[in-house]
Amino acid sequence: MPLDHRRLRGPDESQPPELWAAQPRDGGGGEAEESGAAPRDPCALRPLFARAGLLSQAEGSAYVELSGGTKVLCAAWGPREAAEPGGAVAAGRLLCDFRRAPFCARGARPRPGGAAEREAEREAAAALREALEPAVRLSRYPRARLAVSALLLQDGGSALAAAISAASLALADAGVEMYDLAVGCALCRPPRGDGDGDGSAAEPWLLQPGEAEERGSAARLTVALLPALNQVSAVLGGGRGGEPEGWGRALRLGVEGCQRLYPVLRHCLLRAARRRDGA
Amino acid sequence: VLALSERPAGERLCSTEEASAGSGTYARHGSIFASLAGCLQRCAEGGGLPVVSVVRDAEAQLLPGVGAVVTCKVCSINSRFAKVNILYVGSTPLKSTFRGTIRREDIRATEKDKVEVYKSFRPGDIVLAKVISLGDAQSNYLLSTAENELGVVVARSEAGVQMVPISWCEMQCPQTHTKDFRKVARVQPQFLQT
Amino acid sequence: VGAPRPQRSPRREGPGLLGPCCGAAPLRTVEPLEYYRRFLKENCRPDGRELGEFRATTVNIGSITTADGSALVKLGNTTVICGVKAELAAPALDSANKGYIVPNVELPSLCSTRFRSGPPGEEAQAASQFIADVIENSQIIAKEDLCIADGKLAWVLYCDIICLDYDGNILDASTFALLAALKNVQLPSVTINEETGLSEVNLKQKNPLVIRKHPVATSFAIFDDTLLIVDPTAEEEDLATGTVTVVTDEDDRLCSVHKPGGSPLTGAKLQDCISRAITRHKEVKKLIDKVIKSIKPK
Repeated sequence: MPLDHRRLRGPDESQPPELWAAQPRDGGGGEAEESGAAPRDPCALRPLFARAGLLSQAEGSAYVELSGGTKVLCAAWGPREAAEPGGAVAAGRLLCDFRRAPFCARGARPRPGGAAEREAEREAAAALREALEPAVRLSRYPRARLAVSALLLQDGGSALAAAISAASLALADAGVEMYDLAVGCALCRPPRGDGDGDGSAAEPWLLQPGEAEERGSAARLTVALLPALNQVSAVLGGGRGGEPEGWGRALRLGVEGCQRLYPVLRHCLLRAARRRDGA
Repeated sequence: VLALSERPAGERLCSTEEASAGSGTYARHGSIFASLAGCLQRCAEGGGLPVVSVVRDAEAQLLPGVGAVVTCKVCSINSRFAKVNILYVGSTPLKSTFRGTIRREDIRATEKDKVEVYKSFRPGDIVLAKVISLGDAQSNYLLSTAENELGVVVARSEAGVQMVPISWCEMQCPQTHTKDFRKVARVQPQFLQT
Repeated sequence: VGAPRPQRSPRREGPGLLGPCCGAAPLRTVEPLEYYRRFLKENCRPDGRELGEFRATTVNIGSITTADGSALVKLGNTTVICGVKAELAAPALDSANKGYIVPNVELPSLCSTRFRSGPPGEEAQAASQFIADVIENSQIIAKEDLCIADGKLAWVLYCDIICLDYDGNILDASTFALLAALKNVQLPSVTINEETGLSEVNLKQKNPLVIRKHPVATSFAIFDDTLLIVDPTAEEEDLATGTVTVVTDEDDRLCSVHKPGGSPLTGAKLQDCISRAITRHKEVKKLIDKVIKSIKPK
């Protein structure tokens, strides 16, 4: 690995203490206790907290927290001069940036700037852009660029979905003209066979999975919806197996989840608008 | 004009049969939706359909459009054009500057062939100009000062003192009394500050 | 702590500009330094503060549960979060009885338009180095305390400091966030099994770190080579001719003075900075003690 001179590096190698935990890892861990508890309602939504307009330097900003510990902060900037003239003159461009805080996940701290980390962030940024672009009226911003930056502070599962919701709130808070908010909702399907084969396999998809559910899943899906227009702006994800009907059912479940989350985001945006106009 | 409660972006406001879509809204599938989070306004104009629009109290995100009068600062000049940074659109400050170009032939309306850029603008001048084009793949915003009201409004002499306009093409330093050429904007009384 | 104060802006200045510049605060964008000097003449600042006044400071501890310790510090609008993750590693060969503390400051594009996405820029690198120097010079933690088995196993504390909202004076906010996050750290107990020689970690039994010193940074901006203002905003930092950061500990001793170029400062002025930093240390220490106490009973 090339040496990173721009960061302080510490030792070449280090391991998270969980690796050396006295208890055998597969049995007594905290996560196992959680999943050992009564199986959860697969359609249950985790309570969502959202607040817009909290950063001073960004033109628009939003913070979204899913109970159970997913925390995303987003900033958005209205039209700026496109860095290079040329390219598409007719419509504006939406630039997305996605960062993961080095302390956002349990277990080993990823090396910031490492190849794997950079790739994961680039992928998430591209997904964010795919989900947001259909929601923004880019034709209103000829020759300009709009920017969104997301920072994942804590990953407790369904992080991309939370980032999509937070980013569209931030754009709306920045006064960017939009067709609609983009609301994100994640799903995952636990691996078939181990335990859930008996009867409950009809609807194995879980809505808004937690981090432990996500890690063990066989398939993952993030749905982004424009709720007022009732149009899906992006379906992201993948996984192993499953019948086509199963995926179709998952999509419907995700769309329904987005519809249920929309009132919370809508309320948050109105509150921010009221606060801004009152100030 | 009637201001109603705030609306979030993406909210359906009414059918296109009831009203027509104004600023901050768009029409789709026979309905009008809000595209901004702000206050709903319904404006009835003699007989026709009322116009619904959504406005934000917070400063709007303006882009310089064709025909807009902008205030800019001159960055650099050469014999063919002056490069400027656009700071204001109308009276609204931009959150970030946009670059623009004033070509030699767009500096004034008459005797275009005799215009010399360095006798019209100097780096640091504050200039009023009008957007004539959003530019193409090679250039950025094209601006013009070919109107009496457009041109240099603030300029400093070599001594660093703000100069006073003495004619449409000259300004004078009140300290050293040296004269400098500029494409001076005619002072409009409504813009004079008291 | 503290409600936002109303703006005491002397609105009487005429910008002296013609044309459509007569909008909101035109002087501020066209001639920012001139705009600023008018406030300084009246011994106040555009945000209503006096020259020696700090912004409202708040700290929130332990909100990131995936980190071993965390703190969110707000200094007015400036917001900084610090998360500490502890990992195990072999000590360096030349210091077999010491662990590691690895601080990194990130200024992501999220916190201000002045930063681009990508690897840390100059300012972030300088801030990281500053924090590393503070850790080294103040002996906030004795690195020997992080050693578990001589030459075999030691703790590495990765302290990632991320700016969320950049409105000036990130050095003070970062130093404070680091200290508060370290005070929040709980490390699992580690023992070396005598027979197997392997280390065993007990995640259930956790111990706080021993914080030996409490370094607090206090920053000043120098205006027109002579005037000192404390806790500068981003705008003030841009207009200033220089900045000084003084770090002191609870024994009123100097840990570090950081003055990256800029206009020179007389010895008397520097002495003034140091004594003001000592006063500020007491306020910050009081605040952190109060917050730590409030979360202890849990």
